[in-house]
Amino acid sequence: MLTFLVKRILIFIPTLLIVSLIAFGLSRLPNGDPVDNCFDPSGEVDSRYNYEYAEKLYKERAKDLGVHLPPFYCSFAAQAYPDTLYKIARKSKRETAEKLIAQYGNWSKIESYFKQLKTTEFALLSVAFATDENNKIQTLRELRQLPLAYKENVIEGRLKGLQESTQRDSVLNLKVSNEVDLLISSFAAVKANATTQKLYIPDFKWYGYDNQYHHWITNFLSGDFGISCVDKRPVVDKISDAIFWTLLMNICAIILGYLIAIPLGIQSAIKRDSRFDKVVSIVLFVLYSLPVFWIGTMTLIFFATPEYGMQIFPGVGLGDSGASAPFWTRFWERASHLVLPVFCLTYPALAFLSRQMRGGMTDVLKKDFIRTARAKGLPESQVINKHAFRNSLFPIITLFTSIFPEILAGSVVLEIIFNIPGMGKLAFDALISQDWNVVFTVLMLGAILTMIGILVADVLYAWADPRVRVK
Amino acid sequence: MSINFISKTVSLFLLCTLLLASCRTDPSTVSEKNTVQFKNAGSKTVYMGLPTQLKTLNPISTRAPYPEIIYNNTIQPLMDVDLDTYESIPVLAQSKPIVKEITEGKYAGGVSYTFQIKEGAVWDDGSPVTGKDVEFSVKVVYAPKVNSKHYAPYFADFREIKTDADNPKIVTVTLGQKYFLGEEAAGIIRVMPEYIYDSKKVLRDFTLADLIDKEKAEDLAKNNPQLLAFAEEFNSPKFSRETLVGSGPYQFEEWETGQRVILSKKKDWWGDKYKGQSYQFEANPDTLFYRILPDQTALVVSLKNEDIDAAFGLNVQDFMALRENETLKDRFNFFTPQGFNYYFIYLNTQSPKLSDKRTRRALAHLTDVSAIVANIYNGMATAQPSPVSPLAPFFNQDLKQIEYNLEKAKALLAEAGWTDSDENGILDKEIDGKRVEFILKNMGSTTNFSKDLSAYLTSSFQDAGIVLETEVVDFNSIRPRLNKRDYEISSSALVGGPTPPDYYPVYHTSADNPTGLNRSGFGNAESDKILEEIRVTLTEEGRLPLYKRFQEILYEEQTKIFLFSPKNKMVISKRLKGKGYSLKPFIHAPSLQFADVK
Repeated sequence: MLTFLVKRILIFIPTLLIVSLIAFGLSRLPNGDPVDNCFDPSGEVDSRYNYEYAEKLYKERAKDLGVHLPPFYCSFAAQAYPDTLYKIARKSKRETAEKLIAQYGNWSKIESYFKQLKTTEFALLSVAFATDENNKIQTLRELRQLPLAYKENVIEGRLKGLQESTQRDSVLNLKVSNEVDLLISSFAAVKANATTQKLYIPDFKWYGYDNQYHHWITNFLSGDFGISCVDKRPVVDKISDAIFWTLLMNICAIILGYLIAIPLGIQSAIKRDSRFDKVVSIVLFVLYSLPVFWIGTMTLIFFATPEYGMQIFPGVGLGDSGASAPFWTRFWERASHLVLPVFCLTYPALAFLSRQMRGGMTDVLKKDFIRTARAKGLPESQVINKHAFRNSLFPIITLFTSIFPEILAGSVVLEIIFNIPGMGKLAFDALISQDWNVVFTVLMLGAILTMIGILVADVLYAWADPRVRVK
Repeated sequence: MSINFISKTVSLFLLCTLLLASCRTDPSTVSEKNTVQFKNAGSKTVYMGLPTQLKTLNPISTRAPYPEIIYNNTIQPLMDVDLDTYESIPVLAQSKPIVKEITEGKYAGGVSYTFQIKEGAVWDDGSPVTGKDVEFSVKVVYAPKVNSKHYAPYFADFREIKTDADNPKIVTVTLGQKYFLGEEAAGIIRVMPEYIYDSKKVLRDFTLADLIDKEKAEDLAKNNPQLLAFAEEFNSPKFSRETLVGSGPYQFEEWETGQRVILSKKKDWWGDKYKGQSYQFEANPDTLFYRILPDQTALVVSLKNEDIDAAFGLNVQDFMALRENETLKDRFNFFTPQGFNYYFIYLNTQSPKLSDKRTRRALAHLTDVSAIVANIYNGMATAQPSPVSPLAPFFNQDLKQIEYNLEKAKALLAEAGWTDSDENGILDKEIDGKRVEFILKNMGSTTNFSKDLSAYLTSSFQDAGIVLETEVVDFNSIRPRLNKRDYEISSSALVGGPTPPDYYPVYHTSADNPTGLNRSGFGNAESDKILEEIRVTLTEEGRLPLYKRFQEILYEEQTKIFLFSPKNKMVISKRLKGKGYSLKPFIHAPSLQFADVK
């Protein structure tokens, strides 16, 4: 048994590693800028606007978040992509650079084109008075869109516009046209010296241990889950706040679900095809097909408001009594608030569980040893309870495995409807606001619990059927 | 576990459920009652619904709109705005500041604002509120590593803050340059008790000038570990969740995540003697109980249950349904004061199709704002042709909403060179030597309003031969795409207010870049000059003509189609006397009074 367990646990390590890699990889896909998502820049609307200041702040924040580092230990990409690309802090600019490289393959030329863009902007900004201010504004406007342009015709169109507008104005012509000409020739150089063949040569680059993934995974393994970028609270605190309610609700729902479904399934199997069996099946399947969000809202409106005169339960939330209230007051208050959500969590599982139990029991009841037991003259209750029950538990144990991650996952819909700040809501909000530290932690905990679930199921199989252990 | 045991347990559970179900009240008894009984009648607690999750209660580290509604009852600013007249009123300050333009010395060309703190203003430990507390409250914003980045730009022009040597109640803020919002910026300083938030008085050793200079501040942080220790403590849950102390009428009791925040009235609050001076000195309820209800269904259920006495932030449909609800009519008053937020449609002038202002005007003629308000917004909004609310004194009354007029739109489009040369029903035009069909890309969001508006615009534009293709984009992608100018048209909304704002960050051409907010590419030399001038014009009379001219240019250029400004939607229990306001906090809980009800 011990070697069996050790083997199982050893398999978990590579599995966890793969899960962490997938999670980390996926987190890099969504749209939106990771830095702007964490530090809402629209907060800076109200005061003096300053482009340079905004850029500086952005870099500082990128550093705070750790996204200024290379993402992973190594990369395996075309030779055309430089190993310093990650150093372009702003995501939108980095994407433009990548798109240009994908077309021309010559980073050194593209880089000098980018540098020339900056020089030209400086030159233009240093012009204090132009003959025609509107023309200067238009020129600056054209220029500032260039760092994000990557289509050849768009860039050339803008460069042409830039050249025309600088030549139109005598002051600009004197002070800026030189730089604009250089800019045009630097883009021409990008085109002329395209090394597209480099896009087909694979290249392996090593970045070392100072990378985003390494920092995250080592912190995670040492128990430091980081800080939520939404409210700057430690992720551990947020999860420990949320997990209590989810655990409470789910454990109640699971116990209740099993307590109802197993006897129902057994009775259905014993009285197979009887009226009882048919009625139970129909009722459970009807319940199973009713969506939770609808039942949740309906029960809330009918049974938790005075509107229809059937207010049996209190409204949303978990009650008002604080930590100082007597234990039993708090207990009853919380319990009455949890009845509806627990009901909504339980009913969809009933059909599923009782069907499995019915199937398992029906199979077992046909077995020879049951016939033997009956032939021995054992009373029917003993045949069912002692002989058939334990042997029909296999499918239920299989289902039990899936419970562990479910306990943690929480139900987003129910938590939102009943205003319960549990894990489902936490994970959902974190995903929406791209609060990766929270998302990663919930995901990894889910993965760990799934594996523990599988382990427990294996142990339970062994308990229910010693043959499993022998194998 | 035997089956017998299991079936017994199940039967017991079912029995309990039945018993519980039989306790329900008979519906007829409820409707037969003539007098309305209130669930919370007699209670001196006001239960408020808060339609959002709360992230922090530290006034420095958040600029989110809702926490302010709570911490304003505890931490007071020097000045505030009157909710009825929109005039600036003193709170912790004795009166308006003394303004002085500085002509010589280090800060020549700047302005100073001198405030005197109200007589009798004290902290919870009985010690007086002094200029040192004001100093701390400004310096903390710039202390290295303190989470205050949202707040920092407000005070960016501050150069010096000094308490009077003879009178610790007098404090002077000096700005390095003239700025028309300088007085507002100084007025919104939320005064936090130094003895609580900086008990070791770490920040006293540093001047504001040191801290505001980023590079200097970083050097200081390196050499002063106590500065970093201060920042760490200030950012920690201790000061964002567990502590909220100020000179206001209420003290913080508890915050249970996702559930509630409770504040209780201070005994013998110093401000009681100023009662009647302004709404900020009203504090009637003994307890303010904020229920956190981010979901609309939960908010509505809580109202029906009378779990909350008052709510704001309801969506249009729910609000209309509640107002028609028979049981609620007797129990609640409904308020719909005009709000200051406004909706508009960005038109990207960088797109060659929209670079001609006649084309943009034609699109405005095809947008029937009154129909949109009536059909999509249930009439709960007022049309508005400019970013300025018609309620604000600096609104340009000469600007009229651009009327829906298909013929005019067609004529303008023809003038701008759009014709249907290939007779396929879609207009086209030669741009850069190529025939381009008038197909506009609309970036929509996942909200119902955006979907309805897109559907309306599609059919309306079609009448003029313009095809609108809508792409629904997830919330996180909208801003980056607006910033990259990767759109042609897109609807959006912004926060406005009764006091003239600084339009510079949104409309100056220097903000027309990939990080700036001038997302439709508005602006010319004249508008830039006006915006720069507004910033240094310190008198309202001086700024008025500038604002009016600015609105005219905006109207002529039509880089945005301004739509409407929604009304605020609020509900207050009839057991309370009070009303809803246009401005935050929308419902001022401390000034609600208890009506004589059962």
